[in-house]
Amino acid sequence: MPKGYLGVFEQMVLLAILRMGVSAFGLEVRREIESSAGRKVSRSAFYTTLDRLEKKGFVKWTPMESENARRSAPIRLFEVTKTGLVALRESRGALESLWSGMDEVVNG
Amino acid sequence: MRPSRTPNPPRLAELLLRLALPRGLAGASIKGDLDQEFEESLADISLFRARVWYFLESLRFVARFTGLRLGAPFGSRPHNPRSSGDNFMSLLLQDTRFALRRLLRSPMFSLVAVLTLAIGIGANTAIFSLVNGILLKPLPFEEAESLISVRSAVQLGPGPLSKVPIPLGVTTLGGISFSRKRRRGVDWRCRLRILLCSPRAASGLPTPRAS
Repeated sequence: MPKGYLGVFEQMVLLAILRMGVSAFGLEVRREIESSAGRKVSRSAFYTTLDRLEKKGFVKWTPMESENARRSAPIRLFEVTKTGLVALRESRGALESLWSGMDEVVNG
Repeated sequence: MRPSRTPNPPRLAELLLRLALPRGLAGASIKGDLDQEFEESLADISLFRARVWYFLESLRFVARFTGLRLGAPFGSRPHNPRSSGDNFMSLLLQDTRFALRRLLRSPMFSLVAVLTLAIGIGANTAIFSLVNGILLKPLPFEEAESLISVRSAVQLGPGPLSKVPIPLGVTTLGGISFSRKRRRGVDWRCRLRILLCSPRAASGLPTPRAS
C-alpha cells in the first residue's frame, strides 16, 4: 500500500524518472521535467521532492561514478520502486475517474 | 604554459551548502550536480554572474533543507488535526516552527523585517535614553525638588531687578556665582546666579572649588 497520496510535482518527478530509464540521474531528470512541462523547476524544490519520495519508499537510488572527468562527486541513478508504481497508478486512476465526463464542461 | 584552472564557486555558498544539505552521498551528489551546472554555465555567462547564481541557489537550498529539518514543508505532510491531547507547549512549538519555515522561505522579506525592527528598537532606545537622562531621572541629591537656580542679570545703572518666589523650607544658600558677559549685543556687566535649596539637599551638593 502506498504511504500517502502523490502531489502533481511528485507525479511529474516519478514519470520523468521512468521516462529517463537507465540515465535517470538527478540533473537529467530535472531537465527532462523542464523540457516536458515547459517550465522552470526550482533545484531546491526538486531535490527536496526526491528526498521526500525516497522517504515514502517511492524511489531509490544507486551511487555511480560520473563520466565527466572533471566531476569528483558521485552521481545518483534514480529508480521508481514497486510502491512508487502503485502510487502512480492510483493517482492516475483517481484523476481519470474525476476527469471522466468532464471534457465538455472543461472545454466549454 | 600554465594550465587553465576551473574557477571555484563562492566559498561562503559552499559552506552554506555543506551545512544545509544532507550528510553522506546524497548531499555530495546534490552539491556535485550544482557544481557541474556552475561549470557548464560559465560557457554562457560571466564568472561574476555564475557566482551570484550559485550563491542565490545555495540560499534557496538552505531555506528548503533547513525548513525540512524544522518540519516538513507545506503540503508534503498529510494534515494532522490537533488532537485534544495537545498541550500548550506543543502548540507553541508547532507555531514557532511554522513561523521559522515561513521566514526561511522568503529570506529577503525576513531581512527587511529584521532591519525594520532593529532600526525601530534602536531609535526608540536612543530617544528614551535622552528623555530619561534629561527629564525623568531625578538629580543625585536628597530633596532634589527643593533645588532652585535663580539666574538674574543685573545691568549697572537704573533698571528693575527680578523677584523670584522662594518656597517654604528652602533656607539654605547653595552657592552664588558672578560672571561678566556680553550677550546679544548688550553688555551685561554682572550676571548673578544663586542656588537655593533645603539643608538636606545642600548636604549632597559638591563642595565649591576654592578660587
